Amino acid sequence: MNTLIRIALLGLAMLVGSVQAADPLVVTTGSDRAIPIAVVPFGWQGGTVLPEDMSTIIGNDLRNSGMYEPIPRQNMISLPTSAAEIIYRDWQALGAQYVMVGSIVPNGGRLQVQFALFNVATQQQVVAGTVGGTNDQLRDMAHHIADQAFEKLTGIKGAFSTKMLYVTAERFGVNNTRYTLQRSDYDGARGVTLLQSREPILSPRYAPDGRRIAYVSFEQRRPRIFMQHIDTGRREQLTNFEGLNGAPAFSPDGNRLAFVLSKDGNPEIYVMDLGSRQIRRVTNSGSIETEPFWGKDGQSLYFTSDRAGKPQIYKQSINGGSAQRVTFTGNYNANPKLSADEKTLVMIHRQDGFTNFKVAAQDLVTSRLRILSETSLDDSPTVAPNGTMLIYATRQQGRGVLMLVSTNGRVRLPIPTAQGDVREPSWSPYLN
Amino acid sequence: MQQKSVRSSSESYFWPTVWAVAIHALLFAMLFVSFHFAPELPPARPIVQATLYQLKSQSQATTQTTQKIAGEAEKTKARQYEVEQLETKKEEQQKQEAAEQKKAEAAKQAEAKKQAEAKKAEEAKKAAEQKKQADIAKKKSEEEKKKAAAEEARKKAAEQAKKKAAEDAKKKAAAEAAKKKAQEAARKAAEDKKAQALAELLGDTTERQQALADEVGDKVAGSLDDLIIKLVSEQWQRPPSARNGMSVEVLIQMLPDGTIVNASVTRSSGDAPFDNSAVAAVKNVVRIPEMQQLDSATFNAMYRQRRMIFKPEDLSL
Repeated sequence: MNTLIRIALLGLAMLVGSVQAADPLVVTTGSDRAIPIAVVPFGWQGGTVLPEDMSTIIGNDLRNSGMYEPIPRQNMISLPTSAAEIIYRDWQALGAQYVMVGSIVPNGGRLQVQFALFNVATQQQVVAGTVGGTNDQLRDMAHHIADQAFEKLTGIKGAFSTKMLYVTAERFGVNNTRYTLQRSDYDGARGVTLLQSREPILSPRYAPDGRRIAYVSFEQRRPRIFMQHIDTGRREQLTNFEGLNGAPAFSPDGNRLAFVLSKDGNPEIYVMDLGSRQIRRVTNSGSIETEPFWGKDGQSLYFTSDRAGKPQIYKQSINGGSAQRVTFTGNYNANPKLSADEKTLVMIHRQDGFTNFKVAAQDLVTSRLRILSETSLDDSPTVAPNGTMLIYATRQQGRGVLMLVSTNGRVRLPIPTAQGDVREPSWSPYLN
Repeated sequence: MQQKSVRSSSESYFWPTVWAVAIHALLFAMLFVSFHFAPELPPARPIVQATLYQLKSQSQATTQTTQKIAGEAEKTKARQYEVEQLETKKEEQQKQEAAEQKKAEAAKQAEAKKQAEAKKAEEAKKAAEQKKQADIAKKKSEEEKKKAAAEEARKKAAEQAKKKAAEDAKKKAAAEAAKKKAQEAARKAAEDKKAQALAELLGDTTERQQALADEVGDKVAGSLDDLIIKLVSEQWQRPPSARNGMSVEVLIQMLPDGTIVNASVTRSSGDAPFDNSAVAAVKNVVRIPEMQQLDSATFNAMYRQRRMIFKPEDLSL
């Protein structure tokens, strides 16, 4: 009897075993190419031609992330403006995985934009919505829609509504150069002049609130740090120390500013409390310390130092203590910028035995390093708040230009900006 | 008293009537009011350009030259852009050609795979039958072995018995031998029963069919596993914070028609964008119609709820 039961149990166990083979599925690779997406021109019933083409802006935004590839308009077989008009067969034939449609309707002097994004294979809606604004806000609305779509598609918050600061220099003759500080959309569009000067402007930086900026201006023939309120244009001079005053960087809480002073001989890093305007020296060495960038805890600074002979990046607590060296690959690493999660260090990097300066990203845990730019003489990298894109300054045909690179390296393109030499880009935080 | 009550009743109708009329009027009025909750982007804030006082007298910006320079810059930019576009077009062409080649190859491979799978299925059937026979043979051989072992044991026992017999009475030895024999017999009987049950199990035609069906079901399920992994990884756009070795577990819930009704994180990686990207990848697949080829028992057991682990191994950082 006992043995019988044992046999029965064994059989049962075997049966159950065969049914419960549902081990977890393991995904080890991701999409290795940009996903084709069709952003169909939005319908517009108004009489006049709109000043901006929303669907192109949305398509470009998604492309700039390096994750999506908009389908060229001339290849589109039909131009639906609403869900009912979509013929999925057409989009399947084009290889589009997603299709976005929309329409713009005048609404009492303003514009109302409806949009919807569909998965072509399943014909299901991914996201839909409406957004309103004025004629001048077509770009804002387009970036807003791109943000919504991007977040739904990837789970990553979109950064297409962010802004950029950069400096232009137009040389008219000897001793006649005009410098301007510009604020534009992240993609270089709609540049607005924040400041104009006949002396150099350097190192513009956003405060975390996105409302204040700090920069170095030579308007008194010497480099001095200023803070400016974007909305009102009000300016305050923050430093007037002998020698070099430079490389300002707001702390994550926006209450302190780190910068470089050479008043005691060689450039060292200081932190100013913006309320009391008290300064405190952070670094103390016989070498050059510059380009401070705050760690996300607001208690540590990353900076460039040549204490080991060549410029390398170090990290140090603002409360003193010794500096730890962060970069070891390459014979030149400078201008450190961190991703918002403090996982990735972006910097200007020169490989051993090379003369080219390139933008590189380094994992702060594994110290693995990857070159991101394909140009040379690169400078001033700045990272989007969601880390998916970065912009840096480089030179093309003797002219300073800005280049945008997706962090996954799939997209590299010049940013159209104003005339003259363009340099010193700085990405804003999320503004909404 | 009566008058009073009549008056009071008319009075009691007054306010309700007023209220009713008012509410109806309000409802009617609401027909003409539309509510829309579309987000309105805040109006662009005026941006004021800061002024540098000491420069005002000096800077007579020559707008003409500015425009000229701007024009020239744009021209060179346009040229450069053309060149770049030509290059990208070329690249695209090459890419397309490569893609077409790949497709053709993929088609070939797919056909080869199909044939291979058909062969495999047949082979599997044969193998299953062979296995069954082999099992029976094995059982038999096992039985024989056991018998041999038993006999050996008996021999040993007999030897022992002989030794013991020298000391003890012959009767006792005989009794023991008898006991052993009886035990042996019981064991034999049990073994026979086992073999019989097994034979019955294998001989039963319906059960055999069930076993076969299970095997086929497993195979379909296996290829569906691969399909799900393929579809999801095609949709997986990793955030910049993603690193090799990170891992998030997501529970996906499906309907029998293959519709993915939910995806939720069951074990976080600790990195929200990474977790979200895995959930978005599953949700973007939306539906896997191939699920319909499964019988409901297999579907319920394996796919109604399924855990998925996202663990990148192909990242460069």
